[in-house]
Amino acid sequence: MITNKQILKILDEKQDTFYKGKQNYVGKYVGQRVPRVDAYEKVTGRLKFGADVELPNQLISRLKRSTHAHAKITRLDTSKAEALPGVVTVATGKEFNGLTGCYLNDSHVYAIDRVLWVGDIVAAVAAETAEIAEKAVELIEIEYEDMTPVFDAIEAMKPDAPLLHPNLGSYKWLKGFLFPKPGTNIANHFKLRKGDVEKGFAEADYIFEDTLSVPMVQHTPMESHACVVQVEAGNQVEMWACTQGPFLVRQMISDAFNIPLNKIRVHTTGVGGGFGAKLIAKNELYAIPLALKSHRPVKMAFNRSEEFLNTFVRQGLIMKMKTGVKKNGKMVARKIECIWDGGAFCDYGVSIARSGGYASAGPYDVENLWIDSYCVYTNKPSGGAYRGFGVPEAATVEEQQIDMIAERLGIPATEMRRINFYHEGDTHATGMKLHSVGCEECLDKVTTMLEKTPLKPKEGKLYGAGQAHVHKFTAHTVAASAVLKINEDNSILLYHAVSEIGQGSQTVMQQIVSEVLDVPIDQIQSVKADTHFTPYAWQTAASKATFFDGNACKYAAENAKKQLIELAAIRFDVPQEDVEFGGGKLWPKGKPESAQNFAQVSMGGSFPKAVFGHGIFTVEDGSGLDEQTGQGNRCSAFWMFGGQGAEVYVDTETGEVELARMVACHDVGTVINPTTAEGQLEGSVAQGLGIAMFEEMHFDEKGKLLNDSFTDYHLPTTLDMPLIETDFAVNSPHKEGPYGAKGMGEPALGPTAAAIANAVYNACGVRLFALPLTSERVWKALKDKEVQK
Amino acid sequence: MNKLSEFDYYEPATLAEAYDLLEKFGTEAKVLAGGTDMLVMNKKSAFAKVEKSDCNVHNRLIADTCATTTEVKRVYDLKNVINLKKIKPILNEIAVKGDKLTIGALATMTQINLNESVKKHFPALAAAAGRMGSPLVRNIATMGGNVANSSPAGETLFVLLALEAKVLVGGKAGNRTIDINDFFVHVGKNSLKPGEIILAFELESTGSCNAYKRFSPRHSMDLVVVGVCANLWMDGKVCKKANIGLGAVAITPIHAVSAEKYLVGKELTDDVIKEAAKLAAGDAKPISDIRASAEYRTHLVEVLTKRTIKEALA
Ligand SMILES: Cc1cc2nc3c(=O)[nH]c(=O)nc-3n(C[C@H](O)[C@H](O)[C@H](O)COP(=O)(O)OP(=O)(O)OC[C@H]3O[C@@H](n4cnc5c(N)ncnc54)[C@H](O)[C@@H]3O)c2cc1C
Repeated sequence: MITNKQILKILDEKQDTFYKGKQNYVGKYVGQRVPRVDAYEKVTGRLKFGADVELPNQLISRLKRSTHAHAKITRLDTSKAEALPGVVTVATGKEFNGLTGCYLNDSHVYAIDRVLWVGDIVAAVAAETAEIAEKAVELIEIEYEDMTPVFDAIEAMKPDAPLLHPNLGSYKWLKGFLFPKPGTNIANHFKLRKGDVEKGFAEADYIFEDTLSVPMVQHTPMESHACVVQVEAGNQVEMWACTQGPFLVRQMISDAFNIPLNKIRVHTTGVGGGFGAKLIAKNELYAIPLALKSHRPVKMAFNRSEEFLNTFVRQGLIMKMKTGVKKNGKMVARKIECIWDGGAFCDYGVSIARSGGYASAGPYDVENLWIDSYCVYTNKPSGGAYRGFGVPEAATVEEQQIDMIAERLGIPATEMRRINFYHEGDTHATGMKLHSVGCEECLDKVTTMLEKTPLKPKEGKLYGAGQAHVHKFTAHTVAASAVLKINEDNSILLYHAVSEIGQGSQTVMQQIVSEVLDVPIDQIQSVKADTHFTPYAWQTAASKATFFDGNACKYAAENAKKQLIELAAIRFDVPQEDVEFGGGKLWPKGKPESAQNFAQVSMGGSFPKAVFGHGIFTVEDGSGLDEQTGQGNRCSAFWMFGGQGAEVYVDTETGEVELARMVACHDVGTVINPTTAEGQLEGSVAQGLGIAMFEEMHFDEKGKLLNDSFTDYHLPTTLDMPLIETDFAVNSPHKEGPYGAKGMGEPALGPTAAAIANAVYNACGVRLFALPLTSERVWKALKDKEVQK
Repeated sequence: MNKLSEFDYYEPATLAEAYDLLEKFGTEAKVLAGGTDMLVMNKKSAFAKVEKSDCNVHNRLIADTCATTTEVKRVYDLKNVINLKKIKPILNEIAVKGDKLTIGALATMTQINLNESVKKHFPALAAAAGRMGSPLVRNIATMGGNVANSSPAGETLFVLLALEAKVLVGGKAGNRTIDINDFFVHVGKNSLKPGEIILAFELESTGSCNAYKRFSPRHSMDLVVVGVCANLWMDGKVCKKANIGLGAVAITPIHAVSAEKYLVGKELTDDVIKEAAKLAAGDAKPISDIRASAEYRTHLVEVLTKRTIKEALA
């Protein structure tokens, strides 16, 4: 068996040889294993996270949550709570009834007259201490009149299903992007029509049809949501929050409380993991009325149960997939129906139904496609963005089906994939022309890693290996901007609004700027996002930060460089072409001894000028998709590709699956920092292993979540982790990316669960059409197989 | 999770002082060992309304004016916490005297896991102590706390059952010994009397061989879904006596009685072990919950019993 030591040796060798002389850009800073700039403050525990912010005179808040899944509030009496000594204020949906949301404003702050899930917020309390607030919550009296709830997304789509949002038609939404169906529970219906799918099936030699379901899971960032907010004179809202989307939080606060954006200031604190859960305003919204009413700072820090019930969860998915295929393995038609279990608010989930829908056919060039993807309201916690944005869920079905087809056709699954993969220049399912396509290289490298050092059999257990491959979109036309200032002492401040959520973006942005200005990384300091002072960025989402904001930072640095050269030309009294630039200095051609640093060039002597570089970036030809056909010019700025291979042992007596090794190769364009990139892959293995084998939100028949704590919501521990080997494609840098880079956070999670599921099948012949692959499920399936024999 | 309740905290230096405090505070006292159950339960505890009838002696005479007030309290509250760890002589010693092994109630899981005598004579207990929770938990969690907490899934409980432990308890009225078979009463309930604490556990090494196995989805930080301990007295290949302790399959840890009976007097061939495992599965009375269905738990008892017996014999 391959040992950890051997793996480390392989990794070491890779460090030396891997990134040299290939097509991906390797520079002095870009492509180098630069230590993370935020490492020191994190490992020494000095970074201030959301809950660490303390303001003088601050109140603590708690939420009163609904015990009913769908009910009218017939009586709400907060008087006893208000009378409790130490309680400062109580807020309810009667006073604060604005709606808000990301793409679709369907979300109330507190329940207005109806509760929509067990855990929905009915009131909020601010008090002098947590204990008092907690007691006050118990003193709030509520009477409910039950309404019929609906928990199953398929049931919720039926014409006679109870409606969660009868006023859907009057909500505000992003027109032309979403297509809600007022009068139903369908918050968005995305359609993609390409070619003639029936003709495709008619020409096919075989047709396969499979259905699979993936349950709701939660992001479980290590740091739970926390914010402190205070409202200053003139209703100026000032907030500190551990958020991935300070500008989106600001927008949602503005919509909910009708406050102009320039009166809301959101500071980003350290963020202890997000995975999408911290993109939009949640606790930030619930805290504001308390601050407005009390005129005192209010802290709202969530506990683990609130993470599950009152932030975001990953939507459940029920997916039907019909594929027509030729004898040689070429797919000719795919018809897909995705039903996303969106929970009570689908303000962000609608977008997952859209993009998760258009990516659901996988990284394959299929001539005829028909996709329907629905985001559906149910009386459960709200779904929303979760690392992968629909791709890992859909891949669980799609990639298992590829393996099943290959087996039936008697060809290797790797060949089946190779025959169908997209290539440079191909037209994507959505009509866009593809550039920077590395899926084949990833397949080769994953296969080699698996075959080079296969694991040995273990006594009494069955061994199997399996792969899965995905492609992942990003955003299209979103704005990114950055500003760079050179200080009097030659140090540099870099302003951009990407949240450092553990992914290493701060380091990557500084590497890019270092590369342009040829200065050491530590000469630069990044400023945490602050909506009053850092320039605009859409969100830290969609694996878009390196590409979009990285370009903005690059342009800001190039802009500063241009300004410096102009100033140096004046100072040295030479034409601009004769100014030399390098090592953080400028000098007149041929006179290196007169070199001056940036501060000297700009601020020295008698004509001080402040250098202020700025950069903005977007994709000019980005476009939406047609309502009827899902076709468009460029729905995603770029596509990322990647594959993973899993090796498992199955204990057939207990059904226990041991994930022994995971290999991963991804096409992320140029790898700006190999160490942080590998970290993304290793982290995704941990997360994907949890999703594949342990994680599932269990509800009882009344919609109550049964496992809203880590006692019974299992995440993998270090002892559950497999050996991991990682690699990257080097032949497909993106021509518009900063130094050729694309992105990688989300696709890293894309294939993990599907690869594990395929490995389990290859080990013991059990194909499960639901996640997670718990020991009990595997055991039952093995038993059923025995019976059938 | 909330902050801990506000409580009064005591550090008695002697057992006598501890007993006095326990008597004084009665039901409003709790003894503290590692705190890994107690403090977590308190922090996690929900608040709930309690209707309190304010009828003191004075206004009980005019019962009609008896005022009911609503108080909000934690369901698992702490009022007076009595730390046992400062008592001298310290209650965490593991001592061997002849065939008798005494394990102090405050011995931590790590201590038990690393102790040479425990490892030699009771590998099942050493293994259980080395498996529960995580290293951090094991470094402070005590066996006394594990047993006093009396969860049917308690890591060491079904092991102590199979190892025929005696529980030495003390209180104001003196010390007594409770047979482990008589100790557990229901989920979270045991036969300790008010004011009594566990002082130590006594085990006798009588040449048996033993092993422990448990099933849980994760490899650490996970509660027992099914636990099995086999303790066998062998005469060559023939089994003279057998104890099979089962955890998390009934309201208390239990013996697999029919399996135990069946094994006695038999040569432990593969077939015999298989049959015993089947019988053990029949002895289990598990429930279905989100951790596992009753059917799966029953099946696991069978697989684990078979494997545990084999390991004990190896
Ligand atoms: C993260 C985590 C993981 C865990 N994993 C496991 C696991 O895998 N398996 C498992 O079984 N448990 C597990 N536990 C539960 C717990 O750690 C054990 O039950 C532990 O043995 C309790 O011991 P303690 O010393 O911490 O008890 P404490 O919390 O101090 O006490 C527990 C109870 O016993 C009483 N008590 C303590 N000592 C005595 C005494 N000498 N006499 C009378 N009463 C006493 C206390 O008053 C209290 O009611 C876990 C706990 C945590 C926090």
